[in-house]
Order: sequence, then C-alpha cells, then structure tokens
Amino acid sequence: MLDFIWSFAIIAGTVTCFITHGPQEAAGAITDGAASAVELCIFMAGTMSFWSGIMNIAQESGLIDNLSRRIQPVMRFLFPDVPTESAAFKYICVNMAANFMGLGWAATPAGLMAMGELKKIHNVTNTASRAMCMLIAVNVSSVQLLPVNIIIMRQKYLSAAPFDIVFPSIIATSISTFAAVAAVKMCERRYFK
Amino acid sequence: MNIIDSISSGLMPVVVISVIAYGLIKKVSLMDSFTKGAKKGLITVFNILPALTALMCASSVFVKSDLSSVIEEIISPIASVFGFPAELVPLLVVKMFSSSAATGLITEIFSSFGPDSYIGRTASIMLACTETVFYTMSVYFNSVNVKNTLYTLRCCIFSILCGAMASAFLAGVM
Repeated sequence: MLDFIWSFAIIAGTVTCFITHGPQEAAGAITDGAASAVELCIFMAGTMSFWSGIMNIAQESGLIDNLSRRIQPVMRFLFPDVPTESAAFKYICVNMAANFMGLGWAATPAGLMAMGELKKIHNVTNTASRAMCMLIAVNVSSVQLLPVNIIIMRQKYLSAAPFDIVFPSIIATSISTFAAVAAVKMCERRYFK
Repeated sequence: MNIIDSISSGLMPVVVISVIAYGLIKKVSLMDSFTKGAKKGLITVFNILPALTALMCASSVFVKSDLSSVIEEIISPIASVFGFPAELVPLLVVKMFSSSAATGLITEIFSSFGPDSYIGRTASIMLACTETVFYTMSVYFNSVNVKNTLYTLRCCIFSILCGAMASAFLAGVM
C-alpha cells in the first residue's frame, strides 16, 4: 500500500511538475527533498541521542520496571483474563511503561514477547485473543508522555514555542487511548460472551 | 494559558532531572549508561534516513506540482463536516502506514504554514497522539501467526479519528 502511495506521488508529481513548471523545477524538487531528508536527520541526531541516553539511564536504573509495577492496577482492568503473575502480564506492563516514556526500542520487543506469551496461555491459533486486540489498540493509540521527535521538528522549523504542544498532546493522546479502550471493550462484549 | 505553557515546556527538564537523580540514587554508572543509549538513538535516527529520503523526495515533488492542493479541494468539504482541516487529511492517512513518511510530510506542512500556525499545531498534536496502525498490527500479529484480527483494525482507526478531531479542537483553543 505504501509502495502504491509512494510511486503515485513520485510519478504523478513529477509529470505534473514537468508540465506546469518545466523540467528544471521537477528535477529540483526531487533533489531538494533528498537534501532536506539528510539535513533533518542531522538536526534530529543531537536531541534524539541525548534523549535516548537519558532513557537508557531510566531503563538501567530500574525506573522503567518501577513504573511498570505501578501501572499494574490499570493493566488488570484492561486485561482481566491475563493472570497477574504470568510472564505475559509482566511483558505487557513493561511494554506500556516503555511506551509511556517514549522508549520505542524497549517497548516493541516487550510487546512481541507479550504476544508470544499470550498465544501460549490462551491457546491461540489463527484468531486473535481478546488480550491481543487490547494490547495492540492501546499501543496504536500511543500513550507517550513527551513527543520528542515532534518537538525537534518544531525547533528545526523555527517555532517560537516548540514545547507548546506537549500538554495538548497529553490530552489528545488520553482521548485517543480512552476511545481505543472503550471501543475494544464494547467489541469484546459482542465477540466474547 | 500560562500554566499550560509552563507544564508544556517544564516537563522535559523535569523528566531529565528526575531520571538522572533516580540513577544517582540507584548508583548506576551514569555516563556509561547514557553513552550506550545515545548510541542507540543515533543508530535509530540514521536507520530511518533511507526511508525518509524516499518519502521526502516524493512529498517534495508532489507539493511542488500543486497536485496536493487539487486533492485538498476534493477532500475539504468532507473534512470540514468534522471540523478537521483538509490540508491535514493526507498526513492523517500517511501516518497510518509509516512514521517516517509522516515525518517527511510534516516538514512540508511546517515549511508552508509554519509550526505555530493552527495547521502546524494541529499536525504536531495529531502526530504525537497516534501510532502507525498498519505497521504495528502487521508486526505484532505476524509475530504470532494470527490471521484473523477480529475488531482490532476498526477500533484502532476509531481511536485515531478521535485523536485527530481532538487535535484540531485543542489546537484551536490553546
């Protein structure tokens, strides 16, 4: 699907650009895009590596584990059919805590381990279990505390207040997470009686 | 307004200080741990560069060709019913497939509207409050060979749309 969107944008864009602006502009637009991609990465590298460094301290000091213990009551509500002492439950908590702190590289492995454990305890073959659907819906709705990469991009484009969006983002992400949980809980009633 | 501003800009320093303080208490070798993580961060950034190049070339030529404004004109009556700016519909769609593609597109939005404009703020909040649904679903479900995903996609898209409408609203009131 992404292949389709990408090739459509390149082909249709270049052809139209060629007709309306001429060949020089068309070629220029493509190379401009490539140059700004590299520029953006170099700009992002500083803050991203600083943030990853800080978050690695959070992980190695046990802060993430601490956080994942604190969110257990919420997880019990979201995943009532996953036993609290199971490995699946622990991985789910780590996945959520890591997501919350913006630790993508720690969240995805924990999430995948959780999926594997859920498959075992619920004897899943071809059809998703109820806990799996909830885990993915909450992951997609994003529960991130600080949208670091967006802040960096706002700085790059000379925003007067790059951090302005942090608080509204927390509200918006709470709304989308709440919507995901409510929708999944409603569907659960229909599919798992 | 002032309180929101200070929460917004104060959060990052507070997180940084608390994490370092916690590390000090737990006697982690801070510099060592930091540099290990910083290296991971650098690798992550440059790992997305090839995809970002592909997608930023596409979005750059597409915006330049004025085709994007034609598409916006078609979509805008539908989007305006939900109080959502039509300029951001492509971003919303692309974000469902790929984070780096969305990054490429938001740079176009920031350079044409400015990051502090209504459109720019809505785009920022929107990207912060959702994840790539198709990517996440395929990675997670493929890892356990699940084919029938039941109601997951429906619920995810519903939550993304709620997040998008909340973003448009919040950007208007902040």
